Amino acid sequence: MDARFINPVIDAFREILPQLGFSDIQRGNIRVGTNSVESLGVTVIIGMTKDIRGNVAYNLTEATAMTVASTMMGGMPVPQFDDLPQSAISELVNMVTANAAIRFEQMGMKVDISPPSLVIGVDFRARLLQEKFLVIEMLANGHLIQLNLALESVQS
Amino acid sequence: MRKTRVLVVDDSPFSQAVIQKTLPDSAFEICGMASSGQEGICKYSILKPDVTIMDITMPDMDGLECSRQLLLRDASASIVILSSMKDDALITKARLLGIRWFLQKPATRDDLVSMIKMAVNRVAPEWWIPYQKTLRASFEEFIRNSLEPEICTFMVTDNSPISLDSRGICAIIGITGSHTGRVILDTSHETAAAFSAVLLGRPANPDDALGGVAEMANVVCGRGISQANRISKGLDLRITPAGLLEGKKLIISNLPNHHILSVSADTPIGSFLMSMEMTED
Repeated sequence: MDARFINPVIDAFREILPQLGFSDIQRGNIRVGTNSVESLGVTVIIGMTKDIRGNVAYNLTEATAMTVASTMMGGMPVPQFDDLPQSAISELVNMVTANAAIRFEQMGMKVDISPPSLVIGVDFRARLLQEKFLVIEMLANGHLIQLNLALESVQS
Repeated sequence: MRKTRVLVVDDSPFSQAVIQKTLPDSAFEICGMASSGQEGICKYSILKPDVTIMDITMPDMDGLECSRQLLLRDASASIVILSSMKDDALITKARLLGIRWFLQKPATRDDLVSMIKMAVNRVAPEWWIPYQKTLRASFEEFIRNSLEPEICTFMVTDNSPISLDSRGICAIIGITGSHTGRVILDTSHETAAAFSAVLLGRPANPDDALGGVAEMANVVCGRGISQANRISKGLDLRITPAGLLEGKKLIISNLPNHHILSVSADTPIGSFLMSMEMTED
């Protein structure tokens, strides 16, 4: 996993989340994850191709997902995590990843992204492109959104 | 479910009879038959069908002129051109009228039914039919080549629920390029382990089971999509690496506003499901 991929993703998160109603964006820990991403309840996987290939898994609890969706929809109550909040979370993932893709392109690496796949469930995990991947913890108004990056450069 | 009402405009009684026989009664109702363009226009105004199947060569006007007049009266008319002639010039003329649903006679039941559904739902068909056919063929071939082919059965469904309730293991492959979407391959832990044991020729551990599903997804999508790219001009699809999911309970939400088609395979070691979702245009 190339360390160059970290900052564009963090910067994308920092740029997009304030546009969706989050005033306080903090970066938490960064560590290396191994084997699989243990879902916190809601996991959204998005794939990349072209000069960078791999996948990014956004991981958050259902409670956080509902709070985030509610904030995105101007404070609208979200009593359950049904179609509308699910679509809001998918949109967030799409916007952040597309913004990161633009940043990669500015670095000379063209990237196409797939539609995000939102998965909910109980006791499930995701395996990404690589056995070792980067786990970046981001906090939006104090709510944890974990970004798991398994990306590789096709050029190198 | 309400049947799709079909008007057939074709001067050949034989063709009319073949179309009637081809469309399944359970889902379609032939609400009218017209033997000329003028009769087609009259019957369309009275019957207001969901879809019109239009021949090209007719005595008083050709099918394109008849379609043009129908579209002047009802811009939202869904028209499927079904003709023995199908060349680039005709397809271009039809497209200029806004008609994108074109089939050559004789059409199989599957092709006619899916073309009508796409016309009614305004789904672009030029690439979707070869796309889903090649992926289905790739999926069936992979399973048939790996298992006893004569005991494997495949079933296609296009009325998918709003989410996919996984049987335990699934691989998600993203599609990017001229259209975007994804392919999901889903099965149970037990079937994945049994399948991987067949591929490896030895008992499979849980990691092997996941690896087998990933391999299946990569091969099926890689082969199917490169074939689809070869068949459809201008289709430039790429696949992302597979994301693998496994667990006790996992539900994958459908992609909104995407066309969806699923194929299930029943095999001696259990069942597999392949779900294909793509943007409509």
